[in-house]
Amino acid sequence: MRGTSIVTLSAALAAALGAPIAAAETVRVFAAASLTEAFREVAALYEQQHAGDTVELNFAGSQVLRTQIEQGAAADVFASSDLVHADALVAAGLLGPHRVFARNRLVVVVPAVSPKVSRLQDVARPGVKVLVAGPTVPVGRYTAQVLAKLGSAGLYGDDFQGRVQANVVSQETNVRAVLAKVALGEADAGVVYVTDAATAVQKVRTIDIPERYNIVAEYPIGRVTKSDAAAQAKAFVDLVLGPDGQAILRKYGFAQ
Amino acid sequence: MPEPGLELEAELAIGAFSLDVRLSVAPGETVVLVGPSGAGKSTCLDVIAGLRRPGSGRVACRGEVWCDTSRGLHLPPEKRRVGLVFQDYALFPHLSVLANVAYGPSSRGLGAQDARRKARQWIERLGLADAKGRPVSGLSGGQRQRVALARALAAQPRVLLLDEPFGSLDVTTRGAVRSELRAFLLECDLPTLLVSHDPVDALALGDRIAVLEAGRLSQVGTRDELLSRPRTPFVAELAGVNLYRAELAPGRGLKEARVGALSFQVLGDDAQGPSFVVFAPAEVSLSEAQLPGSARNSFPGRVVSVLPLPDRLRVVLDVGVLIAADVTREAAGTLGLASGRSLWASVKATAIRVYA
Amino acid sequence: MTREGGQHGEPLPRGLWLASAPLALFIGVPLLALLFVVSPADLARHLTSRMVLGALWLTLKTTLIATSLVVLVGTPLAFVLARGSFRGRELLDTIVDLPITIPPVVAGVALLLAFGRRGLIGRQLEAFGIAIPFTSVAVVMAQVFIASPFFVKAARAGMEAVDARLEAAARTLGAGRWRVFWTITVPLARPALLSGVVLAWARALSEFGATIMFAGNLPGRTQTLTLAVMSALEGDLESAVAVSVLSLGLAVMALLGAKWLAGQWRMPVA
Repeated sequence: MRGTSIVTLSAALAAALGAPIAAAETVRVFAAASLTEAFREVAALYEQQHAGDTVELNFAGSQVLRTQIEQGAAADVFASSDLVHADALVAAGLLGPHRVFARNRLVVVVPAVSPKVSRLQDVARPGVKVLVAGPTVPVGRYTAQVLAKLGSAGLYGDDFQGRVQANVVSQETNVRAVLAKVALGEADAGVVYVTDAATAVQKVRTIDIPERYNIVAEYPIGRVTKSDAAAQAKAFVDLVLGPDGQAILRKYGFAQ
Repeated sequence: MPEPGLELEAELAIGAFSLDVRLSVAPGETVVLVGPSGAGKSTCLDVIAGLRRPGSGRVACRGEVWCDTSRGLHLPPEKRRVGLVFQDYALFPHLSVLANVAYGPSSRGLGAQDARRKARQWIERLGLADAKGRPVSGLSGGQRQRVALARALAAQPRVLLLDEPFGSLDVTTRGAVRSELRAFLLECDLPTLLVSHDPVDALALGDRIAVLEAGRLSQVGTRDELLSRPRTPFVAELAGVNLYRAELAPGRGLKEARVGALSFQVLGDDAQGPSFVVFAPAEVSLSEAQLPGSARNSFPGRVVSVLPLPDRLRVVLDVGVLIAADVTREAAGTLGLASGRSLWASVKATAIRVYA
Repeated sequence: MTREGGQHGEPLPRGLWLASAPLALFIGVPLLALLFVVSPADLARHLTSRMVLGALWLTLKTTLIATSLVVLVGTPLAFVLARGSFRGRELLDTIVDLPITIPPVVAGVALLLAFGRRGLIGRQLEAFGIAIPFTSVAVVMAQVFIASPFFVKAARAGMEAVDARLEAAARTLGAGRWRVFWTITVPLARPALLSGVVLAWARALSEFGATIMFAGNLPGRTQTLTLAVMSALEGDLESAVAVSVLSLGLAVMALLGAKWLAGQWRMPVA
């Protein structure tokens, strides 16, 4: 008995003193809301591969995460749903060089039960309630771009963009809020990422936006410069960019 | 057929306490409801006022039925014409004296001007003219009592209910206020029910006394009736207090107080005129003959009754008025006490209290 | 009335001052920090932008309506809680208190589930063509839901503190219950009622979670000052700070106004 306990005690002491056993670290990952399910799985995989490390995930609209990092929030990795916010952080010296790790596109979602909207042009019909994300949220910006493209194509009559704008009843702060409210049946249509629609298959139906009018959302990932878990941050980013991470992203509908 | 005044029959239970009373008060009569605290006196007033519903019973006033449980009738307080003077008076602190007194008339439908005019009349009548515009908080105890009374009366009630009207007054003010109230009640033709725990109030103010003990009326009657035939020790204790209306001579020091045909020597300092004289039965000595010595008040009389109390005997003598004297059983044996016996009753001048 | 020193004119022990300082500073310093970030010129520029003025106007409108509604329906409820004796009174009290204890976003979800298009009551209204979410009405409803406990609690306490015998006396003098309420209960409970109104208004002013969930966020229609801060924060920190300063200013005005009013109406001590 005494023999074993001395061994355990020594091991614990060695660990505490930072001996060759790797110290347990926390990796703080700030990721766009649309990455929720995918990154949870990546994080679980990471923790499996790096026993003892913990991944702390913070999901929100990319614009919120950017502001948090600008205001000094402790983060190690930043994964955004557009280049704008990542570039801004790089310019401010807060983010290291980033790489695009996934792509996404937009789709219109409608409630699964008795939808009022069945065709793309219906979102411009008077009386239809449309939800979008706010203008500073990446998906909100993308939505505006898509609407502009549809409008200038002249497909659906005059001032398509204006008529859809008039139908907007709320500018949510992240894409999941848009999805949730459409799923609840509170709105007739919402614009979200294709990957988001996949998470609520039971509650929403999708209406495709043809590729030529759609956008390609590029998701960059990078290491926060003021991170104090640099090695772990690199390992996480590598995992995302590597075959395992990419497989997970593909599973959730992200394009490469 | 005498005009009906207040009629109360009520039975109710509150937790472990139960009340069962039957009482009537004639117009112009003042009945004092006395009893130890917790006896249920205030509850009776609440039932009459409609602030509490009896389990079963009937309340009527001047022929109007206000409550009759057998018919399911229970008029709310505002539909009864009850003048209730609360313990501590319950004056409205956010209203001036005038507004307080005018509250009743204006609640009964009088316009603001008329209500104030009526209020002013009552304020004058009760001698509050100079306190009229003041906030209620600046008044003395005696003034507050009069405001409460004026307020109740301005609403033209059909019955007057007073709950411990002297309760919050200090001893010196009590006497004066009591006399004033007595003078007022004598003139008032409303049936009046006054609640008190103080026997002196009962004897001084009541035409009749109703004794309430543990929710039941032990006895109702005049002081003399209660004195001669007390039904409970409490009644005996109560009625035994010797209190008489007297006419006090002017002057200082030892002076005369006339009680009917009797002349008492009392120390009445500054008081004079109509007063009360009070002395306890324990202060009365009985003797076979007039005693020489310091007792200046000796009266011959006849024993009316001898009542055994727990540790003494209560002897009631008729000396022109009924006097109660408490003596030990031993003393009684010495005196040969029996109904009809002639004895002298003496009480020291220093043992007699005088109230204005 | 200044109270220098303790009850009997004795100064308070220094230790007490030291112990009180942390909390006072903790509350005061962040509020002060708000004031020093943006220059007055920039402040003026941000505050006169369309977004801010729109949010301000909407906020004033909705909070005033909400507070009025709270007083209108909260007063009888407070009276029932104060004077009623019935089984389930404490249960009712607990239910009324709930909006304070549940997270505002949860309140928003609850409102959606009740009044949303597919909600319990909402679906009946939908049949009549009435849809509440995403409207200013929804903003008011969210504010009423969140802020009413503040008023009801204060009003109840104020009414309970009124001596019931004063009310009884008034009734024996011929005043019916309604008259008693207006001439006796309300005037005597006025300081508490006023304090309740201010608290409710302040809470409505700062309401966010339930509003964004139930009413959404649309400038001009549902974007209140608090939502505007949130939106601004995502793009323009200075603008967010400017709106925050505005909100702070409103709160200070409200509290000072309430104190002044309370002073005007102070009754003589009974």
